[in-house]
Amino acid sequence: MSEAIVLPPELRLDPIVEGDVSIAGLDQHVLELIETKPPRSWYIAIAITSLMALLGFSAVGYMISTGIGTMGNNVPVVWGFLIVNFVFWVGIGHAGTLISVILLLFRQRWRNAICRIAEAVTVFAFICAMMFPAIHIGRPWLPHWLLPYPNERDLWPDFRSPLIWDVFAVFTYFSVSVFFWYLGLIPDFASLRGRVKSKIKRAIFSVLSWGWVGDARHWLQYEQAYLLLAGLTTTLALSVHSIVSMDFAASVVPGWHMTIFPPYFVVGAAFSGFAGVVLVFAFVRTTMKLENYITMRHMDLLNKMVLFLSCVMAYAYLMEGFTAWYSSNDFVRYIFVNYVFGDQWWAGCLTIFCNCLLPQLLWVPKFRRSVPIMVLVSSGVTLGMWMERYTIIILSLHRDYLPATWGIYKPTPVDWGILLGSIGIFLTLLLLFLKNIPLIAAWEVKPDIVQELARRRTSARDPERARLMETGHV
Amino acid sequence: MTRKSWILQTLAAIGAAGVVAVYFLEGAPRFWANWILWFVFLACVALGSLFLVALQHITGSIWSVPLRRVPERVSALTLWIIPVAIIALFSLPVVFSWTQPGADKITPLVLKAAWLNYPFFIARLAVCVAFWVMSYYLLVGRSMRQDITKNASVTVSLQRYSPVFMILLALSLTSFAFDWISSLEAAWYSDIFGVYLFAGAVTSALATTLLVTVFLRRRGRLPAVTGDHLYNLGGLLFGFTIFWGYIAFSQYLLQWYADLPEEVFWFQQRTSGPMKPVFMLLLIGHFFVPFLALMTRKAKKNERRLVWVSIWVLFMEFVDLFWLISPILGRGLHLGWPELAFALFFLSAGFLVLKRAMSAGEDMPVGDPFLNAGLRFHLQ
Amino acid sequence: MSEPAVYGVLALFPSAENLLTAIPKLKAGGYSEIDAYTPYPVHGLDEALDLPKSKLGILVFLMGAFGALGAFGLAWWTNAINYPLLMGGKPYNSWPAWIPVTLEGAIFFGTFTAGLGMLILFNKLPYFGHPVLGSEAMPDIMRDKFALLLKKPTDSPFDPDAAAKALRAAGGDAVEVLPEPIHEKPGAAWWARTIAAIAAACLVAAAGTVGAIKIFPTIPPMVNMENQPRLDPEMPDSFFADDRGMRMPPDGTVPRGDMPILSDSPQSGGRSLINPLPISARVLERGRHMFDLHCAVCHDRLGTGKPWLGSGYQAQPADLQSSTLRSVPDGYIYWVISQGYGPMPAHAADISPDDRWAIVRYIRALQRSQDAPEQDVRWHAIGGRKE
Repeated sequence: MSEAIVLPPELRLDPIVEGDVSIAGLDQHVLELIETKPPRSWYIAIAITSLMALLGFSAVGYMISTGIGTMGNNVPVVWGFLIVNFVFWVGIGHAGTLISVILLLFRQRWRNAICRIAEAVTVFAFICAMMFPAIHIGRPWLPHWLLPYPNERDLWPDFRSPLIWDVFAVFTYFSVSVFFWYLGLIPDFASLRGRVKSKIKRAIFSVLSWGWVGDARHWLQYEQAYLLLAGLTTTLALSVHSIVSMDFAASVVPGWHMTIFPPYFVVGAAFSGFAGVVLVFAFVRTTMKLENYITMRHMDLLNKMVLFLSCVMAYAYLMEGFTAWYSSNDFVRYIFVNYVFGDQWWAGCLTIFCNCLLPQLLWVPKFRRSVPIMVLVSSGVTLGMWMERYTIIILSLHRDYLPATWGIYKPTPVDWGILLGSIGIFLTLLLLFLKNIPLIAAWEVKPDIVQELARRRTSARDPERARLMETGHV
Repeated sequence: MTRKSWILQTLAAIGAAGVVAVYFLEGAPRFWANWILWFVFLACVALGSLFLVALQHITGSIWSVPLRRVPERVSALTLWIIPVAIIALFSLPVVFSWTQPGADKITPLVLKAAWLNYPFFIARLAVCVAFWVMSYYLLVGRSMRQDITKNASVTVSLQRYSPVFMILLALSLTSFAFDWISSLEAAWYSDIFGVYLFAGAVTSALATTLLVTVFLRRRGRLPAVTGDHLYNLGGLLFGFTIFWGYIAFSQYLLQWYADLPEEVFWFQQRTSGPMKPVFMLLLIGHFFVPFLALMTRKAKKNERRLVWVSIWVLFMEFVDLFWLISPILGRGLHLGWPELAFALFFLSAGFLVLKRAMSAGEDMPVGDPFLNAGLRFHLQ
Repeated sequence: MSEPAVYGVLALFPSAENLLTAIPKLKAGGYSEIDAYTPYPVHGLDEALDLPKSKLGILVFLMGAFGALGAFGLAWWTNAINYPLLMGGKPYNSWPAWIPVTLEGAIFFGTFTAGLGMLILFNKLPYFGHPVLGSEAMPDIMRDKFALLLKKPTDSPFDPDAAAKALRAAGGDAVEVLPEPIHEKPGAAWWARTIAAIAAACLVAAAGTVGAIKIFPTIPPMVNMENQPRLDPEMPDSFFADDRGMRMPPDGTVPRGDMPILSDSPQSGGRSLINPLPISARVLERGRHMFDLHCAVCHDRLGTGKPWLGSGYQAQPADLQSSTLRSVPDGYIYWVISQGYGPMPAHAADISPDDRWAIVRYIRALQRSQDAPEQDVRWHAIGGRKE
């Protein structure tokens, strides 16, 4: 059309794979982790995390056999740590879907290298999350009473109850994310099938890959299914945390009944999820030597998302605070003042500091590419989002309509044990995943590698042409 | 061309006469309710278009570069917010519940007086409008100048300004929604309301963009824009339709469920009696119709379908604002010749403005370094 | 066994571009049944191979709609029709509340239809007998090579050598001739083995179950608070200083609905207490019942004070037919029943106040029956009519 425009350096994008990459190298790198013995540090790490998980299981066992009184729950604060942890882990579990699926819909190719680990984070976080309502229902051996099946009591679950919506939403989300994860793994299992030496492993991968042969007809259907799943799962991810938020927002508890809760919870979930994923990547990138595939550009983009979501969170907090005042309802106004100036003022203040102020560091481009800063910010956000749920759940409940029923919440060692245990379960599963399942979706990254190698060839042969390609002139 | 603008001018003049007649024949409240409705509608389309422009800069998306000039030109409507807003200020003593005599005896209104009072209200509007107009010049004016200078560093500075604009737009649009719709019945509140208006604004801006794009394409003025570009626009419209449905349903469900008297009276006025059909129309028309019509891949590339869905979506946005605003006039369906006169005036005046805007600058941002890359965009 | 039939000829290509350029050449060579095998989806192959568009979307939409209607219908039928419950002042058919579950139903059915429909219905997987699956080239295809397969048409002749040559000419290498998969029908021995294996599994499961029930006692795993720590009557409890589990109520405790009698003698009781009951057949019937139960054993059925226990019984019960007791007021007798008199124990604990008053009414009837004036007899003789 016209003569080429010289791109200023700010508009130049780094390639999505870097360094010495090749298709065979990717297979070698990613798939061979499964066949080799992990280093000693892996065993040490998994020993520690399993011990944490064991501690959690013991705490749960002690709580169930002895009674709810072993936890800090009391009468105004009927929802304690268990629900805080539930909402927290459900939130972490949203990152995988949002990264993998929404970015797929927007055709962002940089998602390819990170989607597998992000989806794993989703699945494991959901396993942790589902534990909490199960032990919180009081009689954990009767969870099937939540399901609508014809029974001798002649009763149905009450579909007007947001808690029943929650059962359906969480169950759907968990099964669908496991299924989506597995579908993405099928071609990689097919790759493994040809690589592994042991006969038993070959049989296992053969069955797991359904006899996948890479037929072009199959790929056509596969991509269609992937796209449809992406569309449906996006809606699902939005709906699940919205429904979790309705557990609170459909009530008339001051501080809970807010119409902004559904989108605000979804954003909060994505926020904590992205922060969690940044933490995982900051750790996995170097230890698993994935710097060429999960590049600093990936981290930069993820950190931009964290920053963006932090701004939306700030908007939501602002709206909540403003509407609390604007509602001119004494109870609502009081509860919001109580968040930041009450007995447990540190919870509200920490929430605002970690979620709204700390991530503003990421406006500086250099910080978005600095591992210590991003670890600091993401840890802060993870803590801040946990504190946010603590603030919403516990600080809203402990001040009731009547001062006579006011109370205070003090977590017990059992509460802390269960929280620690859930972290242990999550990390144990993550470590098992890193060892046993291809941690990069090889079939999705391979075309990117081919493209990058082609670009490099062109730029070595004809730099002028490569420059024109950047702005689409060739 | 000239004949058409002559017709438009005549229609606008007839409309203007009708609008004035409304004031004298049907009374001030009816006039002001309609004026506010069109004021908000105008702001929705203009600011939604500015949002789309900034969205492209902020995401650095390449496919939308050739289309960017369309929302840029539509956002010329931003300038017309100024006169419409100044006139709208005269409605304050007439239709706003917090300005009525006796408002100082109603507890919730008294408690809100620090926010809802004349000086602060007018100051907020002035600041918002000033910010919008300034952003229009910063985002669109510089982009138009880039056509000539071909300076790629303009793109960099636009990308830098866009996040700031987004943050301030969120705040200004929220305050606008609370002030000009919610505070008509000041006892009511819903903290999602700003997002609700935002969702409507983006849907209507997308529909306008689609309509103008198809119009220009049929004229042969956007020859390089392909069905794939339209597909992406259609996809965005589809997505924001779902988003609007999600926000609207969240607001309705939560207030319906909690059943608090200070909230639910507002919905009761709008979902029962003569407003019930409007509510049902909104539910089906604003969500299900575009949702089903744009569901398939083929539909999002189909020019014809995109045109009628866009027109329908714009109409639904009008119905939405009608549903929000007209119940302040009391029980009943306030629909008749006054609404028609206002529609005639604002639509023909709007077309005149758009028509003039369409001749400003190039049809595509020819100075943008990514224009060629954007033209090469095709779906995989 | 003869040479297996040929399924097709496979060749590997180094890149996707090679594949896309090779296909038109092969098509021009008269090969119509071409399959491509790639490590990742290659765009453009669907047009090059004239693959039909996927119909998965329609199926997903239909199943999603089914899931939505099913979930909405379930919520509506269970909560509004089958067992309508009034919850939170909401209408029986609270449609806004059904929406979240409806959405989840649509998504659940939609997603699993998309995934399983793709695998099973459209791709006909799992299939482990695919000729390409057993080929030498399979690991390469899964890694980074692109393969084309010229399939043997069913109705026209096929020369594998010519096909191999055509593939080489189009740029392929590592050419492989793939045999037709062998589909043998399972023989009698296979069936016998399978049935035997199933039977053995059943036997082991049955034996295991019986053994488990015999060996392990049947413990109810969850008792749902059926067993709770509590104090039964008469049980000791070290919590209290006197080691008694049952506690006395504090002094002056009054049970609800049971006013104590404040008068301290039958005489004063007779002055202060008034029979609240009417004289009716029901009251007298109740009084007779209670009198026969509690009083008649000592005072005799007619109240003559001759105990049924015979002469061995030392006490002298009062003669209710005596003129003294005929002349005392109702309250006097009530007081005596409640508080006891001489050796007669108090009956306040085992006869309720109303029953005591009913007994008093009955005693009055007894007294009159044993000392009836003449007009009573005549009144009775004429059938209770007033003269």
